[in-house]
Amino acid sequence: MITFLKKYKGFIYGLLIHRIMVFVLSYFDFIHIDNSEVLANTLSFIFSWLLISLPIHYFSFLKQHKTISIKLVALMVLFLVIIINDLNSKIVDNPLTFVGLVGVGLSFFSIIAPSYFKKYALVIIGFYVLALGYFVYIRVYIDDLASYLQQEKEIKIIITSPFLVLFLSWLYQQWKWVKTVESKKSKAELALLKSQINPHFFFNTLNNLYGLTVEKSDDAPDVVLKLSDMMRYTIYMGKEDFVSLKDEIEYLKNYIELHKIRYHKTVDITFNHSNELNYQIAPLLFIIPLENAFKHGVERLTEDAYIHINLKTDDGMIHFNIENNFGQMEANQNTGIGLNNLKQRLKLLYPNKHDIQIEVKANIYKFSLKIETA
Amino acid sequence: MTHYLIIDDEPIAHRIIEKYCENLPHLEKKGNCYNAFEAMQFLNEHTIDLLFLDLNMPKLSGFDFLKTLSNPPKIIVTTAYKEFALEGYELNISDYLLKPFSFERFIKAINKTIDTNENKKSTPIVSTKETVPDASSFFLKGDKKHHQIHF
Repeated sequence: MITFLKKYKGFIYGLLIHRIMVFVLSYFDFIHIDNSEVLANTLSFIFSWLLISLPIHYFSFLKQHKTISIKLVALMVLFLVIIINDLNSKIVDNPLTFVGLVGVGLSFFSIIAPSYFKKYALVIIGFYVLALGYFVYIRVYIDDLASYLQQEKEIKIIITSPFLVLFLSWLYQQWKWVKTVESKKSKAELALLKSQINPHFFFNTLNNLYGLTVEKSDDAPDVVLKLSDMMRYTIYMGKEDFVSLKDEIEYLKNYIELHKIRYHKTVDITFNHSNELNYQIAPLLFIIPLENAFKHGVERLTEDAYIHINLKTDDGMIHFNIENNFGQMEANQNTGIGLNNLKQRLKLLYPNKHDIQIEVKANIYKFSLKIETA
Repeated sequence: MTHYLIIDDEPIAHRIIEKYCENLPHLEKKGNCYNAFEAMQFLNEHTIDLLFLDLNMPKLSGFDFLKTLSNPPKIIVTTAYKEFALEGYELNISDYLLKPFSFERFIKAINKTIDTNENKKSTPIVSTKETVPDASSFFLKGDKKHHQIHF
């Protein structure tokens, strides 16, 4: 509730200023409020309240975008000039006022929704040139007030209704845009979920575990613990935005340990990391290159497979390096789904704060990732 | 007596199959191979009746290995990948076991594989009985249903 109020405090300030202004203005008899006109009063209250509140609410935005603020102020002045001119001229349905108000309305719309306005600019302007032309023709050229008053209502509807249509369709487009952003986001989350769990790894590990329990091996309990740690981590921590680097390293270690029990051949795996692990990081980033190293390296080689991992931290930066050898025929399968997902997620999570380097030389694959956490 | 060979890159998977086979006196192990090349060499020197084959292996996958065999023995695929079953049956495998599999499921696969040998002799007799035409109606398969059509 308090954060909500804080976020929209501009409207509260706006209301206060509005009340004070109304009080002062009516005190000096600049305005007169007729309490019987409920609808007009409500509408003008909402309009003037928003008019005062919105600039306060978007103050920081307006400060940053000087040209927009200048345009808005100019429009406001133009609007006032038109209104004052209309009040002074004492002509029924002053044509200048009509043309001016439509112009102000359209330019206001083009400022707050420029791309949308541009898209339909030709149609909108064409429509208004015709409608206003017709209006001016009837009102000024024929110069017969009686025949004008006959069509007055239709003309006013023709002139105002496009605003409503424009506004509603703009709202619809905004809503659609929000929807697509949401679905994109959930797709990215789904991709994360999918990339987390490599089912074959789990089933192969379960198969090994099955074998160990059938043999009543002493290794079985340890495997159960490691596997449940890993599953807990992927299920629960994968949902978090950030996890501690220490947990992430523990996860990688479990993964390596579980892999080690699978193989008949000897595999040389080293994992060096600095001990300063007081860092927060998005979960399950490093597991992807590690998984790839196993998939394309260790699993494809019959002997002398190695994986060397280095993780260094210094001054807010995390340097992750992984190097492995691989079989020759795997050489051109380097950008898989996992790696693309990783790149996508890094783009979303650490925009301009990460750097991926991939180096493939002979039978050696080097992957390095730098992340700026601060 | 049926001689079998296990091809799998994971030693524990070998031990599971060996343990199961100890309970089946008509099965005798001929060897263990940890990748497809070892298996090729082994098959050059020995004859095998039954092969337990893993798919995801170093250098050469189980199916690629299978395609190189001109006169393959009976094959039972053992893998954690369920998505290759169809491809497997196109290569005439006898059964497809998803890791981890139970002893009961294993027995079923063995019975199916070894029984089909003997069943082959009896099938012609059965089929002659069935080919006596029933002139009054026939069945038509369509829409995932069988429809009986009467003349």
